[in-house]
Amino acid sequence: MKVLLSWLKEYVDFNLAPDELAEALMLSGTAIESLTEIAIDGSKDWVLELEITPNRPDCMSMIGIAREVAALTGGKLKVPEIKYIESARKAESEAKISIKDLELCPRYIGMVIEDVKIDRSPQWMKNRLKAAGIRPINNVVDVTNYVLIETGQPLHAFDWSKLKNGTIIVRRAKNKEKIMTLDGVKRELNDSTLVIADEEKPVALAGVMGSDNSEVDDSTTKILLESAYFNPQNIMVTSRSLGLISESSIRFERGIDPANTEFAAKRAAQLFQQLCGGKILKGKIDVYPKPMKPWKIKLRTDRVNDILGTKLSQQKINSRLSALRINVEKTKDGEFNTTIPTFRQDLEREIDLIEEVARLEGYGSIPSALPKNDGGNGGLTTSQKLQHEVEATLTGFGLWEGITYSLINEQLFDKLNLPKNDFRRNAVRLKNPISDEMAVLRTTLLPGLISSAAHNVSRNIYNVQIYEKGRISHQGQSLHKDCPLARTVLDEQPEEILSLGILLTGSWDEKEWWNKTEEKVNLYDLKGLAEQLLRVLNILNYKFSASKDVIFQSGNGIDLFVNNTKIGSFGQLNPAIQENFDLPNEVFFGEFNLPLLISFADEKSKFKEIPKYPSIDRDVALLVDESVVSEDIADQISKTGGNLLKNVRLFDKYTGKGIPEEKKSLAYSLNFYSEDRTLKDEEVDETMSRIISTLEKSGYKIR
Amino acid sequence: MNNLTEIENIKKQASDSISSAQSLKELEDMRVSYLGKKGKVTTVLKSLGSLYKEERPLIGQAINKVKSEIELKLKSQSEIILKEEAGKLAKKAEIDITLPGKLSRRGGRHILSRLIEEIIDIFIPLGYRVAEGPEVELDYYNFTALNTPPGHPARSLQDTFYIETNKKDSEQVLLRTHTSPVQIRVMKEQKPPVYIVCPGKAFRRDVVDATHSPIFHQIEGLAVDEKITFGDLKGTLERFAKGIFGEDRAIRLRPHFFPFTEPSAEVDVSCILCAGEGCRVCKYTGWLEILGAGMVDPNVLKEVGYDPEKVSGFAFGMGVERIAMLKYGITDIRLFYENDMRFLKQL
Repeated sequence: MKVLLSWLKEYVDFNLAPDELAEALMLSGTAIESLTEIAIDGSKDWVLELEITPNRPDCMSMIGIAREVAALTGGKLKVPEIKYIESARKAESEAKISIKDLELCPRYIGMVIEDVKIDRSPQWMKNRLKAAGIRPINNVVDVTNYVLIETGQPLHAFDWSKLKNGTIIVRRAKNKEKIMTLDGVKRELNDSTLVIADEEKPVALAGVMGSDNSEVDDSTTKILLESAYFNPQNIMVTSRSLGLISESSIRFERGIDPANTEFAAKRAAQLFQQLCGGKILKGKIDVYPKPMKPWKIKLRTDRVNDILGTKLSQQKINSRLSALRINVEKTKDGEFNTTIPTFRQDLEREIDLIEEVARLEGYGSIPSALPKNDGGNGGLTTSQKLQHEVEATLTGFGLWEGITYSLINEQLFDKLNLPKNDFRRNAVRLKNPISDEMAVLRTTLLPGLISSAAHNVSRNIYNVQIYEKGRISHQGQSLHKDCPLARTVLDEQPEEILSLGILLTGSWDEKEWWNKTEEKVNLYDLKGLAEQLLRVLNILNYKFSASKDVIFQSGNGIDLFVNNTKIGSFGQLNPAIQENFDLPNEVFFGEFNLPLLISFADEKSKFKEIPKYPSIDRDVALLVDESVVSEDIADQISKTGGNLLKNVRLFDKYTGKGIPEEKKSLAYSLNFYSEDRTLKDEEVDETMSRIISTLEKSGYKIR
Repeated sequence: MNNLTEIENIKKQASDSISSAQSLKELEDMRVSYLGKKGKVTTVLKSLGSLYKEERPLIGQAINKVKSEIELKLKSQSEIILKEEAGKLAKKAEIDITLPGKLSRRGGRHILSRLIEEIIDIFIPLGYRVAEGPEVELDYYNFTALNTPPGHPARSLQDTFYIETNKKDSEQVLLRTHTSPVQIRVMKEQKPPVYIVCPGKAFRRDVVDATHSPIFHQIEGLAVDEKITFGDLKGTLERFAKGIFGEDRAIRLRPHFFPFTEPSAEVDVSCILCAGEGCRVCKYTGWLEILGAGMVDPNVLKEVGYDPEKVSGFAFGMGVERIAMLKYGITDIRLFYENDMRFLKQL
């Protein structure tokens, strides 16, 4: 809403400089878009652009703003006086109005003005319209727009001669009925749209826009003026569904004052007479069977002070509300009965009045306090704390947290070479995406993380070690039982899983003077990280096994199970995927169901008694075939070792010089101790020889 | 022998041998041989008693002078030896203290996560808990329960992403446009008092540019209890603004409209760059808008089964990216989502 200050001054006396006025309006809830100095015909003026919130349609006019200024400053409100001469002939003799749907059109006023001469408007009117952002057209149209800006009541002038039998019928459109609106677009309507019609055809989209078939033009001499009140919701639906927004529709859809309809019509008539030489037929046709009456709201002084935290007196509250033209009546001590004028349809409840008191008092004057909460209940849940521990472990490992978009391009699934039936393709789709780039919700954190890696590589940053903690979801029914990252759809609302994704590529560090070989990340980094997380969460019953997930290079993927429940997978991404994203180095990726992982954390049994008696360490090195996996040997040692053997740890893996082709050397450190005595070397020797003979029986050579 | 000549000889002898000492061990041996219990200097000192009375002061002075000279000489020689040994050591280990140290591997959390945590850390001591909820929401929680029923004009303020569902025309499932639905879910689950902060992602149908992102982070707070006032809201927001932007910051509340609060306010903080003087960042107003707030609308309290006559509450919400951009002078919102390692590592 653009307000020309010299124009505003016609309706209210105030003694504030333009910036002071702007500040006063801003601090009482009318946001200021801009305050601009302009020159009109050589004299200085100011345009104040206001942002009117949707609850205040009453402020979308000069008189509305003037009322607000009057309430703030105590200045006098000056509403134009209506004076014009009526012809003897009655309006009813030239026009007939009927409303077929009173719910959608509770009030319709028609006036008839004849002998108008279409011309250009006087300069002062054109200046004011331009300052308000409206293009002057001709004196008749300009008057309707001028009164719209002045009073907030949208008006429409029909060329009377284009209305069949001077008849106005307010009705719902027929399905597929068509109308050409003034913007030159032919529109097809349905029965939810309200139209203004004559006996033959629709002549306007009610409350939104007129049609060229009844438009005022240079030959027009007789007009029918419409001043009506339409149902706000219906106008909103029509405007939205046709994508058509006008100065009229934005006011109707927020709710104008039905009591103002008559004043605006007469004000327009007065200007038609003054500026277009029109003769006004006597009276008006006013269809308004159920007038809206002012309503009452009870207001308690205590309630005002309880909500605001103030100590305002009853008189103070009274004077604030009275300034807003609310009629205030004291019913008993500490209680009012207020009567709300019809232009303030936003005031429905006691709380609405409390807000009015607060904003006129000024939010700045309300004293600051704090709730009487001793803080005892504040804090994080165990699960939230554990999430922090997980993140501290990840960052301590050298990973950086990334955040990627939750909405992705579906084509990324192709780029990840996902098979057609892969569960990750069952994405939740947007009905109204902005673009293909953000059309579906992510089903895995992989697309976002690998795109981030590609972004870095395209800027010559090859070392990317990142993780993301984010929600993923899937469309479809209960998917794979063995898949921890896909769940069911509840009530059309997909279940979301807080997923932890990790991506490593390149080297950990630049080459350093103390570290001549750049250490490239590898699968054991990722496995070490998984083991570290398990250790931090004190999860003991876990298992790693080969993963069949197709995103991993065959043989390089690992599934993590805790208590036989799959938590997630990690591994080296298939080189074909790496190539699709132009990544020069091997990419390692892992994804885990974070809450599921954390649910297995065991905080209680973290402490274990430190051994009281010394322990004994023995080493054993074996020469085995390349195909033998380390875990099998460790398991055999553990099984054979009996209960004195407490730990088996691989400490060396070696191939190369001194080791035959297709063989490798594995060396284990074995830790023995007893909880109740000091072990003797002989006992351990005995166990060791048992272990060695078992290993030899399995065909491993002791080195 | 003339006593004085003898003393002179001791001095000369000591000076020569100390200068030629190569190690601290040698030096210690020398100290013993001159100043030890049976040392040459000690012997002379001990013999003073047997001298003639007239001789005593002269000899005494001379020998004491030599004693302190030897002590001095021993000290300076030990320093020389120590330095030489350090140098030898350095040579052997090739230490160059100007070489860069071995930095350990370093990682870190995203700036938005850390800012969210900083905000949470302000509210936890005030008795708040952290609540989270789904990003794909039902219309009911995102709008209707928040006093924004279908057809409400305020729905047009937030352009919403809807989800394709089996019911083709239904607009029941959407991407939450704010984190407020979490407040509804928490209130429906528990009785007052409620003190929560709700961080998370929110979605609006904005095209990506330097200052707009269809996906962004919000953090909201909610307090519902007996006798919560607008003044409590003000005091709480002051605590927040000072905690995040510094003790010198002031806040300003301006009346505004939100469907779910009444009275409602937009909240400004005194410009963090110019401290209210007026600059380019605050567009010469001295103030920066940082959040929206208000008293929970009685309709919202009723909707979750609370009695607005018995309890009242306040709520506030802010965009985390905006706060981060203001606080760190970041000018492009897209940086938060590109995960450029140079960006992640510097904040």
